Amino acid sequence: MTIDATTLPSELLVTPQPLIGFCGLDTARQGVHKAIWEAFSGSLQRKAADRAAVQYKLLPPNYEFPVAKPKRASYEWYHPKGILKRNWMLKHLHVLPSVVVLFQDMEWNDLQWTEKQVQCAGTVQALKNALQERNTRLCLVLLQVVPPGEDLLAAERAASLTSACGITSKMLFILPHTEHLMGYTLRLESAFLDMAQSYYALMSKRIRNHRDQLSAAHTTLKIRHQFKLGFVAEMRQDFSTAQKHYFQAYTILVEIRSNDSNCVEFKTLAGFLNYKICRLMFKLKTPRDAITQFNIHVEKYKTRVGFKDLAFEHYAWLSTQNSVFAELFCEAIKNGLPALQTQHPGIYYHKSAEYVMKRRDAAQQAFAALLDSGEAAQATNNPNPLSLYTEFFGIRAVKTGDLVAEQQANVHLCEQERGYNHSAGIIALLSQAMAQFKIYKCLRFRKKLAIDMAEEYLQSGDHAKALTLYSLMLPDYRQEKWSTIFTDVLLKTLRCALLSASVADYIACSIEALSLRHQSEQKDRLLLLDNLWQVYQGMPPMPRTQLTEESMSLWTSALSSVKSPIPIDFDKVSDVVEMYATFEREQLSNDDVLQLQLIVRVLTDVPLRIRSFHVVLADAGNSQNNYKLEAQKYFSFPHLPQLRAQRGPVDQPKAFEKNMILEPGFYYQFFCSTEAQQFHENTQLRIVRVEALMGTDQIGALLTCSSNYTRQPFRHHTRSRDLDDNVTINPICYIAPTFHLVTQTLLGHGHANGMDGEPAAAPRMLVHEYYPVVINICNPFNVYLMNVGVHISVPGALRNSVFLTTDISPGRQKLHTQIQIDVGELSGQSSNTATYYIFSMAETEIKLQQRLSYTLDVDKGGEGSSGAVGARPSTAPNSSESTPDHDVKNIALSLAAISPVQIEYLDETRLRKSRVDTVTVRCYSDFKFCARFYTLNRKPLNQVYRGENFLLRANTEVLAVDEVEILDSFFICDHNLVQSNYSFKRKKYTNKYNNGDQLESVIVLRTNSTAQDWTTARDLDQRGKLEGNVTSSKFIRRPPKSHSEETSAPTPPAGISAYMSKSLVAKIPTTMIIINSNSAAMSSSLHAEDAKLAEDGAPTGPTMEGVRTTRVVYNKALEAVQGTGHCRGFIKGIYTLEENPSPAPVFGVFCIRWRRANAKEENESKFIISGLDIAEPPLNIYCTIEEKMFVKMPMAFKVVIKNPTTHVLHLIATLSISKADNFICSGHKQLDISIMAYGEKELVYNLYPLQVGWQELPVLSLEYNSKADPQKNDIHNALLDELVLRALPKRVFVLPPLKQQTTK
Amino acid sequence: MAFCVAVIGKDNAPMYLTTSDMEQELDLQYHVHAALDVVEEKCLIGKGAPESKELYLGLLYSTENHTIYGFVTNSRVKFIVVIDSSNVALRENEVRAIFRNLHILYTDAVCNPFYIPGESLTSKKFDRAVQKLMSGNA
Repeated sequence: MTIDATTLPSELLVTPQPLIGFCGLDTARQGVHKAIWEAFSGSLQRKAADRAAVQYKLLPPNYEFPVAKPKRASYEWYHPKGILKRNWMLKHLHVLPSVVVLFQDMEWNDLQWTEKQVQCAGTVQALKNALQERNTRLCLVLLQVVPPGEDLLAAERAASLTSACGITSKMLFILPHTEHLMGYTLRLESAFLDMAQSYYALMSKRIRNHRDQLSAAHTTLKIRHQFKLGFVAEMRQDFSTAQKHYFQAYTILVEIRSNDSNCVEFKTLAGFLNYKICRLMFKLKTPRDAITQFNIHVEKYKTRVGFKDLAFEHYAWLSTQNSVFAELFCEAIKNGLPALQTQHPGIYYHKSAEYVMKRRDAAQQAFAALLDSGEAAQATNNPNPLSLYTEFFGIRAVKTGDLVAEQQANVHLCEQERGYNHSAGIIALLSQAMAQFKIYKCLRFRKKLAIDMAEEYLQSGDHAKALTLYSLMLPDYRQEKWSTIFTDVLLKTLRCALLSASVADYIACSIEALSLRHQSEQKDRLLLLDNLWQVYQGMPPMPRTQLTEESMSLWTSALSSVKSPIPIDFDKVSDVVEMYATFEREQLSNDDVLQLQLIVRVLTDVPLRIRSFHVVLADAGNSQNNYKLEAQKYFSFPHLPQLRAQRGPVDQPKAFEKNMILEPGFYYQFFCSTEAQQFHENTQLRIVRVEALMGTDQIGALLTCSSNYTRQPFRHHTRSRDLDDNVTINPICYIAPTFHLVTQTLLGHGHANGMDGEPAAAPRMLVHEYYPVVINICNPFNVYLMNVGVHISVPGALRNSVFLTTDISPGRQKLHTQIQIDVGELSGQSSNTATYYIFSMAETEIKLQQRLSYTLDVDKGGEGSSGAVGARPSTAPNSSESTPDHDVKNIALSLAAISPVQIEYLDETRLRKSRVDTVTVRCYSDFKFCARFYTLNRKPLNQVYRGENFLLRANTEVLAVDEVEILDSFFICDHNLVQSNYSFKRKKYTNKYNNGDQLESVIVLRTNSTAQDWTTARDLDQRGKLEGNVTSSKFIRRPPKSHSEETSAPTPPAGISAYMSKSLVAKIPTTMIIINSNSAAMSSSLHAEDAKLAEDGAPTGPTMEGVRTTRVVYNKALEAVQGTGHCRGFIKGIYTLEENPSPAPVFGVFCIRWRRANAKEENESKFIISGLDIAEPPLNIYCTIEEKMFVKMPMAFKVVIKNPTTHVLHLIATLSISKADNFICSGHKQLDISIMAYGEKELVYNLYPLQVGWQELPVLSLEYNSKADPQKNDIHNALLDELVLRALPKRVFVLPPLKQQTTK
Repeated sequence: MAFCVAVIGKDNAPMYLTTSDMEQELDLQYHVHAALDVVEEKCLIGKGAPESKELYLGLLYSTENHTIYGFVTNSRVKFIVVIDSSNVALRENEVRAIFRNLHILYTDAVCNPFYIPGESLTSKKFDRAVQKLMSGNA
């Protein structure tokens, strides 16, 4: 073969390195020698990067050095036959060393020194003889065991040795083979290298000398010399000089005129030189220059074809140039050169591949010409291709000018070319190029290369590989929408599929090729369709060119083993058939019939026969569950408007027949239907894809089209272009669940009237009321339901103010925030009711969550009965078949948010459904309550003094809209307080109060302890334990039978007002324990306390700050008071939601029992009354006056002064009558009193009223006796005055004399 | 003077392609298609400073016979012009002029109210003008 043109010789490709020859080393037998040799040349050493680039050669003992040619005296008549000899580079690279090193085992103190010296001298001499006429350096290395030292003997012997061998002392080296061999070798190496350098320098000089003798005619010699100089410079590692010389050689070469015969030589040499230049340029980091040089080079030689017959040789050369340059480029990139998208090795690989293609074309032409001339036969006689070559590069062993011989040689070359596998070469180059193009982000270019490669495979007959490549490229080009290119690729793919008998690919490509987008005639499409049906029927297709026998048999076997149906993804393969599916309705209940429409249109101009249409559905929540529906009936419409108007040519849809022909241009509307029952309730059905089966039973294509209706963001309105635009598509259908219970909620009607007849307008719910709610649960279906239950819960925001209960039996202890009412079983067409009560402490809107649930048996029989119409689980490969039962949980979970109905699957056969509704009740206020404290003088009270009586005035206003009966109202005071009635008149409630009616109670209270020593329940408990006489009886008090409170008429001026705020009741406590100490007060009480104290917060804001609402949270609705006596007790577990609870103690609970007019249920409203600070007074003054005074009837005015302190008090009491004429008074006018600690003193005056009407009483004033008690001063006296003012009445009403009195 | 002119839409689908040598059309299409690699790469780099974006992309790449130039409009419509490599007389300025004229022609064609943006250009007037431009008489 044309080795010159196609490949570069290997000696050119390596980097030239100085050659150093070693002799005298017997590596085979002597370990030391072997170690030394390995130290120099071994692979271990080569790793070190800093080692000099040297090539070592081990010379055998009788190595024959090439004989030097005799020097030419004159070059005048010398005309070489070629430019460069084939062996020159090899000789200098591998054969002729620059330095010959002779290794000898000689110790200085060797006993046989003299003999060895002689022997050594002989060897040296022999070498010298062999290297006659060469400048090769010779040096001697003595291998010694003893480390070198300053030794006189050594110096002397060395001198004698050098003289004996005839070498200078510089050429003698000692190599001690100790463990530091590596270091010694490195140093020796640099010494050798120096010698090699000087050798090559000398060699350059000699060549230069030759050159000087040349005349202008010696162009070829000049090139040779320049080349040699460059090569030697490269040996010396002098790259820039080398480049210069090569470049000179190149310029000279370019200038020579070439003809057909020397063209090959020139191109070969130019290729060599160019290679060297580019290589050095890359090495010297001037890649741009390299690329430019290469381009110029190719440009220059592109047109120099040489012999026309051997054009392939030229292309081979060009291809080689490119590929070699690409390799250089790659190498440079590996060494850190950055490449660009537009300038990278792939381009050159590609060009190289292109030239190989041209080479093949040229070779085929040449061979065709050869056949024509009938010379092919001759060529075969010449079997040895190498015989054509001379010792010069690029020169044939053909005498120039001998036309016959030349012709023969050309024929010979053609013959050789035939044997070359072009395709393999092209494919290899293309794959290299593809790799590069991929790196440099030229993906489209890479595709093009892949297409080229596929074409090459196709040409070389490897259809399967071509098909693979083509079909890989198809989607890419399809996506890019370059229809011309795509058509080309598609048709080639089709051809490959045909040739390789790949049924699936053939069918897929045929169908795709039916599209109008592919530029072909209708008759071509018809032909394609015919062939397609041939294949469907199990016959090989019959294209225009008949298939060969081989492919016929391939087809036969392929058709028998085809796996039908062949899936074809119509999302990708576009523009043949357009298919859309839509649900007829967006929502269905599960006993409806699910209907689907499928709209199909043929986009090409040939009719298609479709075997069947299917629509595949899936649950949105669980795409594993697939259902397949078959199209049954259809309409066809010639135009889109008719489709939209639903006006078909016939009224009844036609039944779908197998292999129906779809005419191009028509719109077909298919219908599928099934019963929705077989799907799970509460699921979203989604159309997964539409499938159309085409073909026969044996072989068919399954055209699948997924239904993701992504519309273009910018669509242009064209009236008939887009089916999608003009038809409403519902891709999702929701199967609404059936809830078998119907409920009706009646508010505000108790058992009495809630059930029967006409429910009147619901009464308004009031605060503190047990408000009944009746749920009427009805099952209108013919289904047997089990475990029907209602669960009602209070939302979190109202947790502490709204409660629920089902139990309003006396006691009413059980309040809950959520209740569950079990209704039990409901058979078909039956109903039941459930009642519960709401109790609210707050006036607000109450939204209760009402959750109905039941279980029922699942009927699984539906699926089988639907028959052919019914959906069957899809058998499509991508849907794993699973029975619904296994996945039901997933559905329930994923769809929980969609519907208010929740479906839970308890097991295979039972499911629970539940639905959450909201019941809204507005709660209105019942009473407006307000409580104030007064002194006995009816002055607003700021502070309570221990041991003094004061008044509580409780005002109640009815706010309820409906009529209310107040049964009772009473005050339960704290244990530390004592209450007594203001007057003994018993309070009577008239029944039925209306909105706006006002009520008032006045209660006298007294405390015996200050706020500091306020007794709490715990204190009492402990005390009781200590005393051991506490009988704690657990009982629940029964409702009182009588009233404990009486109204009192006086209305003191409003002072301190304590507004009640509705308090919040806390969590449900356990049953209450009321500790009842068996006190006399208790037993003697006429009224039993109300045990059912649902307490209410009525905290009074501190008066100074005006009205303030305090949210007090109590422990329990019913018994919050731990009773300790008649209407006394401890209020349990007060805690407030406020950060700083009011310091004032709670004085008690005001309780109103009431009920709606005509209703039975009693309710209680309770208001907490928070008290005032209790202070220790300096004195307690009690004043007693008769209840009624009559004129001229003497009466006693008794003042008791009590000393609550531990000190003795010294007082002066003075009585002064302001108006002399209203009373006659007797008693001490002024009195010094001394009261002992805790003692008391009674002052008694007799008063005789003289006048009727309001009369000022005599004023008693007290002051400290400053004589007896000098610490007391005026400030204390002022305090006393205030006390007196508060305690003593000022006026009294004197009645006229009684009748009998007057008569008397 | 120009060998082939192509207008390519923003999603890289061809909108118009004409060549003076119909035999080579497929090959040219491959070349123009491959040139989009370079266009995309160049546009990508241009993303950094959109203000200074030069519409003319210059030489995309050259093959043995063809030199391929590119131009991208602000709406990412690409113009590709293939010129015979042997035509050394053609200077870069002239190529720029071709693109400028092509841009004007394209704008005119697109301004047609009956033209649907994104569709291929079928206007005869446009075709005539481009043919004229290719032959160098524009």
